[in-house]
Amino acid sequence: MKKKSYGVKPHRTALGTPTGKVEIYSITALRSRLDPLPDNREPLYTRPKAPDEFYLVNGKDDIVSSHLAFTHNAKYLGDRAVWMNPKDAERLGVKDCDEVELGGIDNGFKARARVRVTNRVREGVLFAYAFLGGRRSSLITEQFAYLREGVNPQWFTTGKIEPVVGSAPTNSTVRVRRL
Amino acid sequence: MTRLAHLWYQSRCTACGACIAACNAANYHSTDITNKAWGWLASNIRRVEILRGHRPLLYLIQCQHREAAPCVTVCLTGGSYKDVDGLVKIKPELCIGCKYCMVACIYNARWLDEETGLPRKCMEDECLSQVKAGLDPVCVAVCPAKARAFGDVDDPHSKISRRLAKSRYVRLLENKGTEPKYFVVVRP
Repeated sequence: MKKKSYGVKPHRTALGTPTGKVEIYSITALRSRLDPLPDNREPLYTRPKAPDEFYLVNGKDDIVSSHLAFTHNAKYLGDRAVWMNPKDAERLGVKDCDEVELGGIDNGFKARARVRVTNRVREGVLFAYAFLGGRRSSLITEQFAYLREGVNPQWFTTGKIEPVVGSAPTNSTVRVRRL
Repeated sequence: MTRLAHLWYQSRCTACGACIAACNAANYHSTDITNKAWGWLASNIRRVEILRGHRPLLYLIQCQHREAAPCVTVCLTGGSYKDVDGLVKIKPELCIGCKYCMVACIYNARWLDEETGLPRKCMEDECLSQVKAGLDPVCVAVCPAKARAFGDVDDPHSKISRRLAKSRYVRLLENKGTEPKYFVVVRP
């Protein structure tokens, strides 16, 4: 009886790609006559140049960013401060819990936030949770006033659309001023 | 002998805060009273982040149910006592609210309930009733990452013993010689 061949390695059948090997690229991009392989492009915001200029990146908080938890414990479980590396903080003379003014380099928007000095963020970069701080809804009552603390990272963005992906980047660059 | 203990799997923890919120919900009825002792919500678990070391570290601190618990030693009235199941508990009817136990705890694991004037700590009534019913305490039950375990460390077949047998773990401030029973698994 002939043995089944599907367990035999290496597989002898060539793959159905032009080279017969594994190829990873975007077919959608290829159909649109775009380069299907990733390449390096300049970001849609001005890069930081001065020592008080930083990239502002963001991420999701696992409770409040995802669910907008109007619960009392959201006050404690969400971190509404802007994170700064200890070396940057030392250079700017900023201490933990100090208030600073962030100004968008591209759009000039200004907002205040407290700083959290932490090694969870690298030098030259600030971090804030998205959809957590800086809420401006008129429905926020005094009881939930803590939702207004912090910044919304999208305040400082350019609003330009990424040419390939088609999404609006939420990263930006800001100038930090000590208050 | 029964020695109930908590285990926390540090590298598996996603810091989601579910255990903290569950403690607040189960033991304190989701109260919005501020735990002023810790600047935190009414919960027996405290999140401690170490932000200036070589790498960021997170610890979840709660009562360590130490074998030689200083909070029991300093208690004037017998309000804080070590039960036969190995857990450190409070009898509110004996407690006079002197706060000696809060000072004696090197983990700062007790906080003051300003409504009653008495200290609160892990484990509270709801969790104790769960354990009595053969279930896990709420913080263990809700953990989505399975980063917590609870059980008898003297029973070699218990969930916690089996996990300790195959893991590398530390105990916080073990050098104080008070035999903490809160095991922090640092490596599988």
